[in-house]
Amino acid sequence: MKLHLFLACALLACEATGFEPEYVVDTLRVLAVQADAPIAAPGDTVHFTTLWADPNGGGRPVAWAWGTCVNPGSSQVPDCVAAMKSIAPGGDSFQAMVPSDALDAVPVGELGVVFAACAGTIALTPNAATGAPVTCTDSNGAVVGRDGFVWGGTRVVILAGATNANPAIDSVSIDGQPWGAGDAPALATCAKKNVDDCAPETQHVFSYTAPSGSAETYDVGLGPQTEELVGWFCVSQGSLTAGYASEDVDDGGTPIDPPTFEMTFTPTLADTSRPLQVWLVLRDDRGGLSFTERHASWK
Amino acid sequence: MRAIGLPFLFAFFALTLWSARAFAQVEPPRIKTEAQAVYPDSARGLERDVVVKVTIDGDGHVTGAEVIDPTGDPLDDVALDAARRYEFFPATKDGKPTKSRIKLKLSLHAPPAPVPATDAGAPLPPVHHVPAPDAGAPPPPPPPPPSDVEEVRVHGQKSSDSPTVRSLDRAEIESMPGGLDDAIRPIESLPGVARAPAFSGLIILRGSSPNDSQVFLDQAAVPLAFHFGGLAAVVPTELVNSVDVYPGNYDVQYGRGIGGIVDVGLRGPARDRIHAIGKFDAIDGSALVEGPIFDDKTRFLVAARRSWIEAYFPALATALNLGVTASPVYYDYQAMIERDVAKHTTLRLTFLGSNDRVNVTLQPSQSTDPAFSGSLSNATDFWRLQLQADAKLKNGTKIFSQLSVGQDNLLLDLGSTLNANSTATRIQGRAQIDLPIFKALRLKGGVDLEGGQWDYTLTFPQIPGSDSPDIGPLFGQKKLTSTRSLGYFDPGAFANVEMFPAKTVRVLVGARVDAFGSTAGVYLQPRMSLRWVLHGREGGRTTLKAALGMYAQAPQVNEIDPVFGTPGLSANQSTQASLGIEQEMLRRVTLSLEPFYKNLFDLVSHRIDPTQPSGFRFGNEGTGFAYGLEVLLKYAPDRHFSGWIAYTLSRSERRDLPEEPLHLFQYDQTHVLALVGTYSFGNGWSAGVRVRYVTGNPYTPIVGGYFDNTGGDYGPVDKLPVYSGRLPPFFSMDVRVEKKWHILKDSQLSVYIDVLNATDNRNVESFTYGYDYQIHATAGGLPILPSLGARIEL
Repeated sequence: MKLHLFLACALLACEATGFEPEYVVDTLRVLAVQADAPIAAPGDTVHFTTLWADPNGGGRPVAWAWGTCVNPGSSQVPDCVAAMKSIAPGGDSFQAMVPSDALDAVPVGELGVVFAACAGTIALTPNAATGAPVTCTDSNGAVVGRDGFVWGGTRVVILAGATNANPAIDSVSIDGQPWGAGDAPALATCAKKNVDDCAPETQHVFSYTAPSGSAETYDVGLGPQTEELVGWFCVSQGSLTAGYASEDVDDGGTPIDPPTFEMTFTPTLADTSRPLQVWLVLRDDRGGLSFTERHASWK
Repeated sequence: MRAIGLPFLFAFFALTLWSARAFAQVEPPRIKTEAQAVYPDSARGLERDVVVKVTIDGDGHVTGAEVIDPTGDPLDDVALDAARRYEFFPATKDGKPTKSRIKLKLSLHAPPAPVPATDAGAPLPPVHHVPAPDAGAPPPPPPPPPSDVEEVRVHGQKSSDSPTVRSLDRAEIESMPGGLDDAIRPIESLPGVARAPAFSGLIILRGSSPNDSQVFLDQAAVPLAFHFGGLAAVVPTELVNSVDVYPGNYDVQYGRGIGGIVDVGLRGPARDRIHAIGKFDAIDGSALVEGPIFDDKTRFLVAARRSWIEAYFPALATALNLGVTASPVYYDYQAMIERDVAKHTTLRLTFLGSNDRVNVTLQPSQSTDPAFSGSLSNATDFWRLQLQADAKLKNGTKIFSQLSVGQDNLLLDLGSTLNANSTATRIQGRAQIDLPIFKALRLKGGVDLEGGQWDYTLTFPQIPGSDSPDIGPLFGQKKLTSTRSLGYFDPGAFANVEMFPAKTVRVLVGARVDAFGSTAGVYLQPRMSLRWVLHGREGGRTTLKAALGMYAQAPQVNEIDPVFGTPGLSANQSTQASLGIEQEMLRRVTLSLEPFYKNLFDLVSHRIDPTQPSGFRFGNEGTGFAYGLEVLLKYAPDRHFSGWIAYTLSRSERRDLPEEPLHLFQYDQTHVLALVGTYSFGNGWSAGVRVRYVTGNPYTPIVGGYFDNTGGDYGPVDKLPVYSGRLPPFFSMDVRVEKKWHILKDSQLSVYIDVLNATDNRNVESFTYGYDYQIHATAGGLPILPSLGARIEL
């Protein structure tokens, strides 16, 4: 967003668009791609694991394709696509080796990874109309839209002698109670559309923590810097206060320890025929991340 | 900082003052007795200023009088009659009385009929008010108020060496419908000026980038034209004498830019008595006090303005559930002291400044990118201290010197993602002389120096440039930091030879030389212009004008930064040409047609280069052009009506890299049409309408989106080349109604309502997109926006 437009929107109201929020997952989505080494050295092999969801897909098969680029210069994914030599079919995980000469010409390199997930058939030819690196078609040969196709990219920094640990999700809770991966707490529902119209008891607080010290301190020649951690929340239905949260702070504005990320959920227009799915992704601002998934039922 | 030229400037300043004193042995005439104006019945209700050129003999008697700009109404004869009856102390030369010729301005106010009126015409000047007659009994004819001996400013024409300069004076600015009484915004109704996007505060002249055009306050460059988002100009209208717009092909005295120039001329303080002006509207309030101080040769002016949006915006944001709490605050201030150090030499010291700050708290629910949430702080301020000396010697030589010191500060803080802290200390100096060699030849030249010190710290993600399309999420982007402290010195010199090979032909041939501390080269920029009166009959004059010149501009500071840019760049350059014709069609109507062409080369652009810290290597590989036609049909103001039709046909394209195709310039606007008219009904009532139609700005269509895993958000896929789409046309009709009352003695109250976009046209300023860029909606500009304001002048 252009800065002046941002400021203008801040000063005066940008027109309400009515777009659905990003945190509601109702199409095929890739929510996170974790590299086991967000910073790697030349010659390293990096493994990628995906968190993806297709809550309304009814278990339809999803085809994948992956490609890489090295030192595209720009951090923009389309620039990596332009620099990419090939893209190949694969599964929902991937591994790539960092070329041994990746740092011959640059002090800090970048391994770009492009992925595509398709609820149909993937053709390894770019779709000029959408800029996607592959074309996804259904059984009739029609191009699949946003409901069943998503593509994107991620980056691995190439730097010898440096590391970045993925921040871990330590514990998850709902309304202050532990929320395990196998738990399915029953939540009160709300048939209203607006959060303000729902009873307070229908609102729930999702929370998770990261181990102390998850925000690493590093120095790449610009002085010591500390990572910024941000917690993402996605749901299969209902409303969240927002799609992500920064670290909770105390009354003095100091981040509490351990790092805690909290979000309020309201089951607006709850569809009790489907359980609630919740996806949690914790990212640092250097490409490190971890994720987990939780479920809930309805009262 | 290198300050090679400053001693020279100081010396020139001293020379200016000394030479003025040394040569100022001619004393002008002074008014001894003012004459009463006698108004015939045919003049009833008429009011206006009339300037008369009078010849005075050695005894102080008027021996000749001529109205400078006759309108044909009875006030011409009233003024002539009154001027002939004035008595003067004669001019002296070396102490002996001598014949002289001066210009005398008379403010005439004929008694109303049949109903007493308080104001029958154009906005009154800030001084020389006549007390309003009591309602009912016809008042006796008032005498003319104290007269001025002054230089005449011919309306609509600017004495300038530039072939094209379009000026708006204070009266036109204040009465501009949709101008919100702002000093600079009305220039958007002139030819060659494109419409700036809403809330941008940009100035776009003849297809040039806003970065390529400059804004001057009294000939000293300032970093901003407008307060936050274009809400208001950085100087209040009350302080402005005129705003001059040079859309291109400006003369050699201006440099360091390849676009155009907006020069806001500040008026001097009132000479006759203490005045005060207060103004209030929904956005800000201002106050001004001025007048003589110490003696009759010294005058002062102080003014200040402050916004008060923050008083009600938070409540409004809450009520409308905007999700943001913005508290924009701006203020500006001006102080001026002016002294006549000799009969034709004035020294002016001006201190002015501006301050903008906004703190925005954006909730995560309003943004999908963590880089754009939380607290955003932006503060911009600048100040200038300017000393000017203006001398006119007896042989016709004119000397102008100016020294300006100041500071520009920028603070931008958006969490850990975007941080900029910059301080620029600037010293600017100008010294120029206008020397008549003989009747058909004048020599003009001078030096124009700028130097200073930049201190800045920038922390930004990898962003190619401010005009790049949306690049997706910033969270997780590699951040770069650069801290620098660098001095710079940009000396310039210029010279012009003005020749009159025939009585109706003026030719200017000159050159400007600029050196930029940030580049290695010295840039010689030859420029020439021609003005030829083909047909000299009064009221039917046909004038041909042409100009050709070269222009150079230093790269932006970020472009030569070792981290964000590439040191060692050359200057951006352009060649500009224009050919125009002016035709006086009727007594008050002039038609001006001016085709123009601008070739741009050596433009700084960037290409992807992984070996660079920023990932981009900047170079002088960009080219481009702009061409078009400017049309102005203007009705010179009379006591009832003023107005014009301005139309610009334009095309502006760029090629960023040699191997890339041409693309439309970001603000290319094919058609820019403005119709402006203001009518004074009498009794202090006036109303005006402005209608604008402008081709929509280009935009880069987005054909899809991708998930950027590192940032946790989606980014757009642009359809290339950039700016290949076009927003719908812009249409707006603005209406202004104003009423003035004379209150008390020599005082006036004005109340106006200015309605922007009176038809509530839903203009499209941009598109907004769903989170994955698969669906979009339009983002509108201003809805209908009435603004009520009041001004009181005491």
